[in-house]
Amino acid sequence: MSMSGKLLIASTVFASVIGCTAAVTQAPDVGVDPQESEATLKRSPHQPERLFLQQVSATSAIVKWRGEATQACVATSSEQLADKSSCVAATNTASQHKEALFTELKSDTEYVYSVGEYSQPSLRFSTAPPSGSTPEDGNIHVWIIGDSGTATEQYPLGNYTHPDEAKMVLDGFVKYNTGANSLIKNEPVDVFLLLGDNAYIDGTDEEWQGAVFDLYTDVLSQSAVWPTIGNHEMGTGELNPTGTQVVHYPGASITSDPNHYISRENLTPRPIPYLDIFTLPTEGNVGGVASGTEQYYSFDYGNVHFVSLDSQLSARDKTQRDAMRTWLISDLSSNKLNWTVVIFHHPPYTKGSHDSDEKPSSYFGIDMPIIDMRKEFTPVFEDYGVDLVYGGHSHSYERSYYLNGHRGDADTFDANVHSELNSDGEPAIGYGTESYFQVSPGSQQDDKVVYTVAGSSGKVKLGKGKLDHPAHVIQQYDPDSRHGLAELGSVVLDASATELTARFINEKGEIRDTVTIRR
Amino acid sequence: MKKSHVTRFSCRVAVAFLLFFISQAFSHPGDEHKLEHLNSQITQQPYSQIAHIQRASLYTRTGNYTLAKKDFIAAKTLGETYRVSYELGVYYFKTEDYTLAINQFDNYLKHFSDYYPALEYRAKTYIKIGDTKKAFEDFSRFLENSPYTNPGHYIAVAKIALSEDGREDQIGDAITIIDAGISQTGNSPQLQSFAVGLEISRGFFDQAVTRHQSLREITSASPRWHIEMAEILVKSEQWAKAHDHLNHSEMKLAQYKKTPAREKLSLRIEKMQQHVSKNYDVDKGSLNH
Repeated sequence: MSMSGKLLIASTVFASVIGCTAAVTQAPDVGVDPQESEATLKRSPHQPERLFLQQVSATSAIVKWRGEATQACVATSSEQLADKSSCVAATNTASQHKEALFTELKSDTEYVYSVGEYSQPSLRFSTAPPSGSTPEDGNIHVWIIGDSGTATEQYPLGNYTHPDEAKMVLDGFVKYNTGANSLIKNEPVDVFLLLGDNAYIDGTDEEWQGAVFDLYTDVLSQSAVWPTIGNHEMGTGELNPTGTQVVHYPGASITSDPNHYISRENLTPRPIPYLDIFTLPTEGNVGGVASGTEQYYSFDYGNVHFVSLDSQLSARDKTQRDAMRTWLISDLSSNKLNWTVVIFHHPPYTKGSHDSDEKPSSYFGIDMPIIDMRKEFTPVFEDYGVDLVYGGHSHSYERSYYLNGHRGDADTFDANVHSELNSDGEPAIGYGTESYFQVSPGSQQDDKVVYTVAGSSGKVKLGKGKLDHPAHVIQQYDPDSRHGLAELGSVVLDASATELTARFINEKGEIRDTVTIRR
Repeated sequence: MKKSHVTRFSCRVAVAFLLFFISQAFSHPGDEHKLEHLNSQITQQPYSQIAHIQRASLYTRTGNYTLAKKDFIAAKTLGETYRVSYELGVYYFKTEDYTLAINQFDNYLKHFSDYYPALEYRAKTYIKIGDTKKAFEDFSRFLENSPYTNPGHYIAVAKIALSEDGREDQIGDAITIIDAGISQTGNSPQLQSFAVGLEISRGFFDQAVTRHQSLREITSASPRWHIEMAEILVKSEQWAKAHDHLNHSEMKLAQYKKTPAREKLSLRIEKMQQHVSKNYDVDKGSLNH
């Protein structure tokens, strides 16, 4: 290939990776971080710089923070909390975090807590119901955001390209959740899932602060957060597209080594900040099978089994990918719960700002995990009873039919072969009279999965994507009747004993898509 | 301006940025700022070895090898030469001068023996020149010292040991690495299953059973765990025990949600039961002849 050809590809990839939305219409605000300064001003006395919950199970919870406090206390009432009789001294963890592990908690019970001198009525969480059951209200309420990290996205440095979108999505969710549409009555979030790319542009510790901890402060202080690694969590990639000149692209790292993180500010390889920030279960301590790594893990919450895979690092190396797959098979083989939800960043089927077809995705290997995850992991999901799979990466919303067996490019998709059909022989759309059943009436097996791309929680972008992947449902609210929605939004998932329903909620709090699986 | 126009225009701007920065050898302003900072530091403190090393490192990582080399030469004259060695090793690695790279990493590791990035780079360099024995040793030390490792890393290093022709105890060394992984990251199916395969391949069936047994609790003694245990026991001709595990597997399967994988397990159990019955009379408790 000629040098100009290589440069053209490099430019296309670059444009794709950074998002093509450098807001040239906005005045640059060099050197000022509006999010950071606002959050700092808002912080109450003694309030930790960041405060979040980890690994909330039926019997235990971790309170994690960064700040001066040296202990946290948990109790079932404010009076009991004031006694400070149930306090735990903090353990110091990486990058100046502190955490306190509380054990022997009662299942499905609301607790209040404090961190050092910081105590607020909003500091409360509920433990999970016992494994296999639903909570007292009969519903597990999950909030899912993907590619939400735009509050800190600056390109070039000092120019905030999407300063408000993530907040708009949060506001849309809050509006929906507080009952504006009468479906939900301010139900607390039980599980908060992050689909990756949650702190643009390099996933630095500072960016996590601005894009996550300063924005989702309330949700993080009341529900355990469970993340997965996106390409931007691994910072900047070092590429040599012309063979003669090394260039650096944010979000384009192709290493499989978590110790080889670099950012545009600092090209010295070092460990990925993501792993310094989160405390994730490696020993199966919240249900599921021990993974031996925080890069991928699983946990149970009531009657739902969740799996977070690593499509950014482990997926890039054959040996590590095989190891992750071995673990996944072992984990899913041991799972007895009603529902199974899997998250990872690179979506197996997409025609949004990224393309899941083999040829476009092969440039420099940046998007190779899309292909490898589709070819090597979707057969496992289908064989081992997974119900829903969520990814981000493409900055739009795409939700599939009830799929089985589609491993190739988009043009090999055959609805008659690869999807559940309705009574007219058309692909069933997943809601109303065409809701899905866990055991497919067609195959009489639990062998189908709904795949969703939910990467528009911080920006919308299509690039060259046309939202025309035939494995995805044609969206009724899309003005062009495409197989997806170019709208900001997030996903709310509700799991009862007999029904699993996922809704895409836009930034206005409106439901734009629904899919239901029954059992 | 309509959004699509803004997007198209923005893409052109982005592409223009890239081409500009490629031509400047830097892809974004962060590199330029850092370079400016280092230039200014070197102007103010021309005898600062660390500033020269940092600038050489920046030049190396942005592919500007000629300028990098000049700074490395200068840095060597400004202090202890071993302080230059790690970054200079990286420079030689990137310019594919592997022998010189190893010399530099050797020199650095003499002074900072547990510096894991140097161990990893030297291991990768040994791989490049085909010295898997030394690569294995360095990777092993790297895993001991590295902040974040996962089971896959240990399997990768075990595979290096297994791939090394003429190595005396390939399997033993591979198992040692896997056990180091278990000790470091905890017991997990990835590592233990790999070790089980190795134990079986060298005929150490008791060890294979013990290892698989250690996964019993972790996997909640799933039907799959039972059948895998039965497979090990069949290989070691422990027919009665294998039969018991197959029965357990079958009973447990009934308690789980049906999936295609579990349907396949059912068939596997059936086949294995037939195989066991051919070799062992369950009622009499004796071998068939």
